[in-house]
Amino acid sequence: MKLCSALGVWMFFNVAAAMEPISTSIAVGMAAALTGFLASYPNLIYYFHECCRPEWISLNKTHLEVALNKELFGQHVASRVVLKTVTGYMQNPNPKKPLVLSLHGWTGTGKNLMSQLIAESIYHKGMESGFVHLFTATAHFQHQKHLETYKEQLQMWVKGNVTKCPRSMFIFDEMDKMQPGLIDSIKPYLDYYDNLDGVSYRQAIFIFLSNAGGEKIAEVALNFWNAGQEREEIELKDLEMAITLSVFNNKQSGFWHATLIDKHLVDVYVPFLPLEQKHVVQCGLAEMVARKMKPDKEVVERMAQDLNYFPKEHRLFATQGCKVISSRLDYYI
Amino acid sequence: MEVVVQRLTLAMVFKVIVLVLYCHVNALVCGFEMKTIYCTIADNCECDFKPNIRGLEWDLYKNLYGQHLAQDIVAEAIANFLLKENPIRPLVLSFHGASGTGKSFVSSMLARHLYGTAMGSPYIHQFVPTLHFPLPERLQQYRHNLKQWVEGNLTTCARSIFIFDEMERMPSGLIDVLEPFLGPSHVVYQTNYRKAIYIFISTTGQEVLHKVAIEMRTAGRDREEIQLQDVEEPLTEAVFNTNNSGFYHSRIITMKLISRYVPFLPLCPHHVKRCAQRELCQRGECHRVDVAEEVSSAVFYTPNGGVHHFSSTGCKQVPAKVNVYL
Repeated sequence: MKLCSALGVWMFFNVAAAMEPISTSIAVGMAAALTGFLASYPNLIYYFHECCRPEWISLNKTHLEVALNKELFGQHVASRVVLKTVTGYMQNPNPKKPLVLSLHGWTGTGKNLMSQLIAESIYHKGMESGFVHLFTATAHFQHQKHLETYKEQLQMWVKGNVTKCPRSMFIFDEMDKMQPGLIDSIKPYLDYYDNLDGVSYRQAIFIFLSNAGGEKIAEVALNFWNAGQEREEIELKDLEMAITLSVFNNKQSGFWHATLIDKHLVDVYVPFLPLEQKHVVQCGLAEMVARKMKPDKEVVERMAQDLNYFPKEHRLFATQGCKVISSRLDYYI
Repeated sequence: MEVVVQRLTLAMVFKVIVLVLYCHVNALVCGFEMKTIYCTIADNCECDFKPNIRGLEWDLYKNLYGQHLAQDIVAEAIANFLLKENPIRPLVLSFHGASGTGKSFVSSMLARHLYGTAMGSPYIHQFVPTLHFPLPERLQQYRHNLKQWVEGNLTTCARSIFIFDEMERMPSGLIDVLEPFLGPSHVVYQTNYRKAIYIFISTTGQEVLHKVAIEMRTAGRDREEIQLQDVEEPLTEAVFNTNNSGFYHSRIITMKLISRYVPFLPLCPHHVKRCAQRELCQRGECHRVDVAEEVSSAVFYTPNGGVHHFSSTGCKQVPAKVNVYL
């Protein structure tokens, strides 16, 4: 006991010799000031790591508008509808159900691109964000015999991620190849429920991409052209009925007999019109700019001429849309 | 005299102290005793059950469009049920109607006005078959679990509300396990199970209601003239005989355990317009009547072509369409 106290006193005096009152008080003062300064920025840590907070998730309306005008070609109906729906939904502080978009249309017309643009304007990290989840039917839900397992896993995945961050986005690609009945398992999450088992899904966003209905949409576009009307005169209501009927009855579609249509849980059906030659040219020019080459209209027009078009007599719409452009371009440069 | 009073006070204090000490020793009795003590002090012992019948009626009649039958039946049934301190049997309501006509809306209204905290309350239990009972081969396990869940929650809180949504997807035979709880003659210890409310929501019978509505319309009569007697018989029959209604050949129907059938009629264009109007007002754009008009004409109607009859989606697509047309 005596030894301990002696040791303590000795240490105190040694340390005290090093502690000079003025510099000590300056150091302590600075530390206090710094702590006070940092304490007024409670969000500082959130700037460095992605979190489910408004700093990382918020709609940038101008970005979406500009991107839709500049990067998506030939889809006046889709751009307008998506811009209005997404803006209206994100501005609603208390939505009654999650946003469910169903993008339908011919291949190569920009459905995947559209979902990317939406993700990029809402999430700062875009498609790389940890809160954006992409499912491809042919990759994630391949085997018919594992259907029940897929259903359970999908339910748990969606539930877990929405619990973690209510503003999650789920994109389901190739819905027309999805096994019938799989989407039924998450149907309750898309409905008008306050909360289910304590989790509220009303702030989530679900996007379904599919080729179903593409022929019907092309038919409507062709009719407009035959009647001599401008493409820009096509409106949403001309296309909507055609899509819902063909999507519901198509046995190939993942929506076949799905209650999504019965219960009308899809907020908007977004139609994608097939692309004409002038749009293919625009795609080609954009691709050249992206590769940091000087845009050359001649080259792109030659390439566009050689693509396949339908119907055979009129050669109006590109069969593969803008899909093959990046690979074909090399041949023509 | 003073000595007597003092002695009595001392005795009381002594008793309380002994009780507290005893409770610390014996936990089982403790709960019961503490609850009794608490219940005598506080007057609300029924799991924050705060019925607001006036508010419920007001909400029903103001915010639910086009469902004159549902408004009357629900308001009357709930009022009668809640006024009885010791009801003979639980209240069992069965909502039937096409999607978008307001069934889940009414059940959430009920929850909001009976419990202060709406759907977040732990005494309101919602079952969705697609989520809670997905696999048909596990039927026996689901029956066992459901029975235990209901029994356990009735013991915790006698005034529980159980909502069974999407009854048309319920595996048949599952709901029969609740038969004892719905009737007047069962014993569940430590609770008055007859104070609970059960709500079954389904789209079964929508064809019946659609038919009746169309008949009324072609006969040139007003929609409000449809009475419950016109629909109750065919509705009960449809529910009992449709093999995917959850109640297929169920004893719950044969034993007449459902207190009231609540039909939800399909909606006309002017109801859809009122839905749109309400949605616009919520966003502060009450004056945009043109948008409401456009929305009500853009929604799908059946039968197609010819005169607009009834909306096939009810009011479900209205918020999305308002977004597009605004």
